[in-house]
Amino acid sequence: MNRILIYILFFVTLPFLVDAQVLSDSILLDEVEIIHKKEVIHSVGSRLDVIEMKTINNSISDSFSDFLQNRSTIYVKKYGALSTPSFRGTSASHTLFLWNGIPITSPTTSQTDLRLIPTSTFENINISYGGNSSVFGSSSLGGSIHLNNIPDYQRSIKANISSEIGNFGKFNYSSKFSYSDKKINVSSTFNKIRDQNKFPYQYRGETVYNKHALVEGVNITSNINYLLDEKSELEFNYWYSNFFREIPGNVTVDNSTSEQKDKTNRLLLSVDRNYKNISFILKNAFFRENFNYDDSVKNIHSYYQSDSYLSELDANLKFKSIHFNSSQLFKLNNSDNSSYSDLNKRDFTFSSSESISYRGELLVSEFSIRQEISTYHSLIFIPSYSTQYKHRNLTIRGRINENFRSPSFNDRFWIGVGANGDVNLKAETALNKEIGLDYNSENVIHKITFFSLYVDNWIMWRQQESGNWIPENIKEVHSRGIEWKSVYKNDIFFHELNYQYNLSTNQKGINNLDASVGKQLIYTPIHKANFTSVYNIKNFKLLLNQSFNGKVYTSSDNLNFLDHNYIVNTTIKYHIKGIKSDVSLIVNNIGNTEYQTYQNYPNSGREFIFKLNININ
Amino acid sequence: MRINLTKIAIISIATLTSCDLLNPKPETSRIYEDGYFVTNEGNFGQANGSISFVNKAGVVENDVFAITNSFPLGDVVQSMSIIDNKSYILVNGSGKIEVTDIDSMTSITTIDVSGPRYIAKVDNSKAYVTDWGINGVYVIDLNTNEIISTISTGTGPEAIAVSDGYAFICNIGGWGLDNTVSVIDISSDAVISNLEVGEKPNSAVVDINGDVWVLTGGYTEYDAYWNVVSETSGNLVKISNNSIVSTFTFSVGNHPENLVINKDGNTLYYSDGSWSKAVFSFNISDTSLSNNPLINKNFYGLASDENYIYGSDAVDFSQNGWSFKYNSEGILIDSVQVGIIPGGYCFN
Repeated sequence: MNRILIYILFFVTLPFLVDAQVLSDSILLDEVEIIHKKEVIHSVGSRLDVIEMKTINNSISDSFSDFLQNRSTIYVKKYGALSTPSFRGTSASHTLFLWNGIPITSPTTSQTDLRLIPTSTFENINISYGGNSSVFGSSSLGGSIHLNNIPDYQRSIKANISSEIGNFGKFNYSSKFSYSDKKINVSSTFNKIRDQNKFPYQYRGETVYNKHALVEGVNITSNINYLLDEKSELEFNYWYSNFFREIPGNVTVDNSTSEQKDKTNRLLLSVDRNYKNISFILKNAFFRENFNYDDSVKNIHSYYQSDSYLSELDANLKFKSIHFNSSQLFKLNNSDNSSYSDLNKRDFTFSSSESISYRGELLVSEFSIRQEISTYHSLIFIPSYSTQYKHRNLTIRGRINENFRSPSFNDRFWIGVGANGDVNLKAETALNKEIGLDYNSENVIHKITFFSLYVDNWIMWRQQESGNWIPENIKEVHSRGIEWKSVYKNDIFFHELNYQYNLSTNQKGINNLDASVGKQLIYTPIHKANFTSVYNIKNFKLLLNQSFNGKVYTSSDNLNFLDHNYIVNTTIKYHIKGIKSDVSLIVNNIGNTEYQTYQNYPNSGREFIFKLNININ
Repeated sequence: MRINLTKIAIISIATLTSCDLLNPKPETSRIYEDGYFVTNEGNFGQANGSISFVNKAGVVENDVFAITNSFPLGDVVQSMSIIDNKSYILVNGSGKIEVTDIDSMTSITTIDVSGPRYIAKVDNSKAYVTDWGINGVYVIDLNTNEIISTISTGTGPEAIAVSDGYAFICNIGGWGLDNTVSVIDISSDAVISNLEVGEKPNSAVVDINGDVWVLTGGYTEYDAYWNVVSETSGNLVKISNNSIVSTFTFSVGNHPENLVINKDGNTLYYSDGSWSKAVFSFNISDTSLSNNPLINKNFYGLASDENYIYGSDAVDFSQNGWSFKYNSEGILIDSVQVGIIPGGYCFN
């Protein structure tokens, strides 16, 4: 019933109003809107990638997982139903996801599952490398990913419908509608994904099909932006997502029977008011996350419902070139979990972030600090200093900052036979140092970054001699390396190269038998690169994506590893002018390469997807 | 410590080399003769469990199953037993039993089960497999290697001891709690009684007299702040003629485990301790538990064969572990590097 109501409220009514940024293409984003995003303001001295959505290989079911895998230097680990990111050698819980400026990373697991994030429903995605806990708080340790809805106050009514079919059991549908004029912008997206992932692979000398891997889900988003007057804007965002997934086992598990359901409701109301030298933004958000894990044969039924209330007041004051920014965030997390001792846990966090910056035409410098008080950990003092200097097309930049991650609810409260959380865990802390050089011109971008990240008190769930699993602040990791990004673009083509060299080594052994000291962390490639080309030739658009993932170790002594892989994906799109529509053929993994990103979990071979996209306006 | 290990390794290699020169390996079968196997669980979910073979000279061959059969053994290798010249490898996470020829390790068949723990031959034609997935025992026909029937036991059936026509199943509690040993009459495959031995019976052995010794871990319940809510002691229980004849009680808060017995059937070894454990010995005629450890080291897996004691160390549970060999005096005589999370032993 609930589902139907939401469907009615946000899908059925809105088509009559509406927008649509045709799935990513043809969007001309308001640059001013992006520049005013918090992550952009505080990107001084660090690496921030603003993603050009039109260069995405746009299958509807392309989740963020595929995007990061193919288009960034972030390593993506896929296993079972999950898919998680790893920035600069850090773990899945060290990436913070923000939706329109508000953190959405699950308080229960401290992670965000990439497969639940669609790429087609956001107008702008920014990837910030190196973490910025001084501004964004816990979990922004390796980096953060910002998903933004951007309004467009130009008079228009747009609609877009697409549908696609793939040979491994994919059948997806998506629609997008928008209405806008000078005062209001209303948009809504709906997409429905069904993918059986029934791809073949070789096992014990035979061709077998990936089993028990159905993914079925719905994402609905709705955004309303309204200009109250010249100085004030009111913004409402809603994001509903409901997924059912069968969880496949590794290749040796023939009879997996586990299933997972993830449902999230996210609501955000923002008001901003801008005066000449001062501006305020007030954001209020409510998130509800429902998770169910069931294995009827093994008789496992696990669930949680976690509610988060967030309220943030952001104030900016400009005094010539000196800018002050102060941000106060209240957060209440409440979780009902079948695996916590008295089923319910909550924590309350108040954090305050202050920054002062000098923003000259050539030199920009910023100093920020954050303090945080919460129910389970004492005050943390997190500083950050960054600076950049611009000389013609060149910018030299540097940042030194501290990052942290508070233990998740599971880290603290999990109680079960064979595993126990620990309320007294400390927050993980990291010292990030980076310098970089950027070259920016109309057609060319080069960015090179040298980084060093030292993570201390890294929490690891470790099996004890008793067989019990316990989280401990045990690991110390030094991650350092080089990131390179180059873009060359004009009206006809777009080329992008990403490369990362990363040494992430374990710095601390547990006893004198431990052979992992000084060795590369598991599932962390030393080399990762990808190259994307987009050509526009008359009515055709050709996209070619090549990605290389270096060898990854699967045991901490580096004696076992998964080989490197090289994957090529392509899209050919034909634009039918008369009806403003297009058809695409997407071929993923052209070489039909067998590869694994997680030990003993096969990936899909060559896949064909046919897509039809119709625009109405 | 490290220097010692290196020395031992060098000596072992030197021994092997000279042996090889004098007696080249016969090309026929019996590759895995004269030595013992270590089962390496591997990481949960990653299907990197493996079998290591350690020969008499102390030289290790890792991953013998996958190398012979060219496919991964599976997810969480729980235990291995040799029955009638075949090895039965119980792969818990993959829910299967791999049956191989013991001489060559060549796969013979795969038996699909749910969450297998241990196997024991109970008479000439059948074996019992304890399985948490069914809270019971699978009865396997050893001639066909097929499941004939199942027997319901308590929760989380774990170790099996066989004595005088009866099988004793330790119900460790699985993901819950149990305190019983199910006694099965092998001729009828029927549970004839459930003996209350104490919370979490984890291991059992049979001594020279045919008496069954069961070790229970005891149970501690914590709240979210690690305060103890309730606690029971671990026990060493002696069963004679299907009934409990004596119980030795450990300190509350200790969780003894891994009860094993020497070849002569008169000395028991087990691990005990509250936080860090050590190995203790107990003669079957002793009247109280010892306070002095025989080996002052925490082991993940423990075993005994001939008059040696073997213990494994999983280090960080993500790299190749070690297996240590001690004499009956508790003196270290050898150590070898085996696979990831070595948890069990199997002797030929």
